[in-house]
Amino acid sequence: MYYSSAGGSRIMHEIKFAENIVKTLEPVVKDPGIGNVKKICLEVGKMHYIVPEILETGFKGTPRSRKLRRAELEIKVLPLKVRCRNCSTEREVEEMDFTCGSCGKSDTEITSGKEFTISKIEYSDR
Amino acid sequence: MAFKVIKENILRANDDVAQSIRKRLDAQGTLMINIISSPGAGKTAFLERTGPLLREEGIAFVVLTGDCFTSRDAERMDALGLPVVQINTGNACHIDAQLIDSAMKGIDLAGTDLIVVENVGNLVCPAEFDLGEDMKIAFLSTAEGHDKPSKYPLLIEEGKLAIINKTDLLPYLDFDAQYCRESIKKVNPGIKILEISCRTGDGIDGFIDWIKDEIKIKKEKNA
Repeated sequence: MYYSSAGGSRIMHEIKFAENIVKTLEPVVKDPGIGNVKKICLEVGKMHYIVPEILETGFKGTPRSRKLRRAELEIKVLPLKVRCRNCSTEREVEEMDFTCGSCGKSDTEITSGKEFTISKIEYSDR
Repeated sequence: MAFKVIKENILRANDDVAQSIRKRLDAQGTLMINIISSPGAGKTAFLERTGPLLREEGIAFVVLTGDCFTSRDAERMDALGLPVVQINTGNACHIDAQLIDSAMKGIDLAGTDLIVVENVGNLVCPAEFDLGEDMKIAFLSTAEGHDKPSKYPLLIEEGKLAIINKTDLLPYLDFDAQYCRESIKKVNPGIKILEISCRTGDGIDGFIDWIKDEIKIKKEKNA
């Protein structure tokens, strides 16, 4: 048996997500054409367990460079939708039943609800 | 105001590490499974049961076990002489790819058929993180109630196998096994379901047969 330790402090997953967002955007904002970022737009599908308020708090506490310092998160939650591979009917899932409501077949695919994306950033012109 | 389209996964930093792990595993034909459950579902008891059987089958495996603070789970497996690496996640509620990457440093992948990740007990956060594994296993137990698959659909949807443990308690619980099975299939009709009892050993051989097949498939795919 041996040990492998995380060291440092790693915390609730929303905070990890906030750190990942900063890590992804830091190289992007190095572009001299990009001024101070005002808004970071996220698209998060309903399948993900995100509490927007915790993500925002986590983001506020994440160290970042000057251009990202005043940025605010805009979190758009996308509905969970499935499409039937048999009859092509698409519908929003409310209860956790992905079966096709139209033909009753269980062969469906998720068309919305698993997104987990930084969609765009809005920044001031230089 | 100007804008720039990014279209980048929020967890890209994690996913990059996960992909590099997956590549290394694929190169050696090593199977990695990621077992996710709520606390107390019986993951460690399951590994205590199955570990010696895997060894008897000649399967070379390592367990990477995650825990926030203690090494109790690893000690239980160590007592049985099972190869185990303890990952302490600090105060994190999940294991991420970086932690797996560090824990794998001492492992000789060429001589390893199977890596079992015993995630931190939690049905929410661990489901969000790709570790580079071949498959996630949703590990449930009758004592938790039959409604868990509908409450935590991400894990069920991404899982390849769902295990329902503690079937020996069924006579004492109001657990509706049929409802539980149906709600799993409503989210993921392709998932395999095994019902087991780590206490009595019921159904354990079904898992051993299944994992042997999966190890074989992985080896053949990467031969």
